[in-house]
This record gives sequence, C-alpha cells and structure tokens, in this order.
Amino acid sequence: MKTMDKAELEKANGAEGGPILVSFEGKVYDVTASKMWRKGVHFRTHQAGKDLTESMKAAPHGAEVLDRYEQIGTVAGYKAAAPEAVREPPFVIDKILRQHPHPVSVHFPIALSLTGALSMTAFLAARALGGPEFSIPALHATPQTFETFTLFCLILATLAAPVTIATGVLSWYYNYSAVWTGIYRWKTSLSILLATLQFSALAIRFGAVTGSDLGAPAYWLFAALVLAMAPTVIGLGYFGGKITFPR
Amino acid sequence: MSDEIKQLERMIEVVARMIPKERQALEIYRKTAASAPTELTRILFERLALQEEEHEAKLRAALKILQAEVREIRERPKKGREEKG
Repeated sequence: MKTMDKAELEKANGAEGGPILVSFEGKVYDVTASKMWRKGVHFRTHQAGKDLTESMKAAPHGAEVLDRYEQIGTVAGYKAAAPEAVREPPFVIDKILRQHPHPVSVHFPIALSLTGALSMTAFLAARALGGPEFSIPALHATPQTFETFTLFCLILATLAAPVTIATGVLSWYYNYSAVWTGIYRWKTSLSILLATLQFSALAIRFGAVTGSDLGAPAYWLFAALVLAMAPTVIGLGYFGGKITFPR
Repeated sequence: MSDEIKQLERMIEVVARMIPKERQALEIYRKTAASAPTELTRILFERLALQEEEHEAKLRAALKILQAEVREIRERPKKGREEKG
C-alpha cells in the first residue's frame, strides 16, 4: 500500500482525466469510479485530492460510504486531530444556566414595560377626558394613580433589564455558540434601545420635570419614551420566541 | 450584506439554534438511561443518546464549515484589493 504526502494527494483531483483520490482519517481512497465524484467534485462542495475527515462530520451520510471504494494508500505523517472542545461553561456558570435564568428573568422587563406603557396611556387618557379631577371611584384611582404606577413599573423594569441582558448574553455565548447573525443582532440592538429608553425616561422624569406636568415639553418626551418601550419589548419577545419555539 | 452571506447566516442561525436542543435531548436520554428499570429500556435510551450525540457533532461541524464559508466570502474583496494594489 502506497504512502502519499499532501502534495501528491492534491494532484489526484481528477483534472485532465487523472485519478480521483480523497483521504479520510489518514486513509487514501480511489473514488475515480464513483458517479458522485465526477470531474473530481462531490455535490459542488467537496474537491477531490483533499482530506475529508472534518467534512465527513457534517455530511448527511457516514464514513461507511467509503467502504465501497478501494483504499489504495495512507497519508504520510497523518495524525488524528484532538477532538475539539465544546464550549463548556465554568462550573458556577453551568449551575446558573441550568436554572434557566434568561427565560425566567426575561418576563419581568417585558411585563413591566408593557404595563408601564399601558398605565401611561391610561394616565394621558384620564387627563384628556376629565383633567386632574378625573377619578374612577371603584378603583380609588385618579390620573395621578396611573402616573405613580407607571413610574413604579419603569423603575422595576430598569432594575430587571440588566439581569435579563446579562443572562441572555451568557445563554447566547454558551448555548448558541456565540454566533452573530440576524436574530442576535436584532436582540442586541433592541436591548440597547430598551436600556437607553429606560435610563433616559428616568433621567427626564426625575431631572427635568416637576411632578406630572403635562404643560412641560420634557414630560411629553418622558411619556413618549415610556410608550416606545412597548414595541421594543414586543420585538425582543418576538425574536426570543423565534429562537426557542418552532411556531 | 450580500445575498450569499445572508443565506449562509440563515443556515448558521438554524444550526446554532438546534445545537442546544440536541444537547438537551442527549442529557435527558442519558439521565433516563441511568434510571432505566430494565436492560432493554437502558439500551434503548443509550442508543437514542448516541444518536443525539452524533447529531450534535454533525451540527457543530456544519457550523464550523458555514462560518468558514462566511469568512471566506468576506475576505474575497480584501484579497482582490490586495492583488490589485
């Protein structure tokens, strides 16, 4: 049985009617007779004369397909690559991730932001309909009740968001191989937007306006930021769901 | 972003989303096999676990290949510019 080096193997790529050879785990196979390797190319993806050890792992078939062909040699100096380590989290992170902190914590900023936006809508509607004296006796609620509730939701949502973002990043890194594609870009952008909306809204409400003064333009900006949180968290929920649930 | 990269990224996304599901299934089958009441059920769940392990390995290999393809496409214009320069 012949021993071939890499350069020799690469020449056997079927060009100009020559032999078509491939290697797998250090063994060289002659696949010239195979219909699947016409002109030295397999499924427009794999080129003859190459080592297929890595590609075989992703193939829809196993290595047994090569049993149909004659092994004509071995690759000189072939050394099996050490198995690639899976990205395993450190012990503590693993224990944390096993409690599913992201799916647990993600509901809080979503629910609180939505409730805050809803409460802000109720506040604005109550003021528009009945002015500051408007009240719902059954709930003992005045417009101010809704405004206070909005602030309460906003503060809690702002406290919950960093935890959710941190657990999301951990989950992305260890569970989803840290791939940087469309869904994860959307989730990152929306998370940054949400944090910006939350901090800006709090800064304006406590720094630029006194009470719930609808005459102040800054208050309207605060209201707009709170309302903008609703579509932002719906978007975050949508992309999160797309990753986790099939439909 | 080119259509080619977009298509590859869609595949990367699918593969990356499925890896934890294979891993989860593998762990569940292994745990179930460990507490199987009979030899037959133990073998059954161990075989299922092996299949999931193989699926995960295939997906990880596919992920590597797809990421390498994206890198190659992204580097194409750079190489072109260097050659011209």
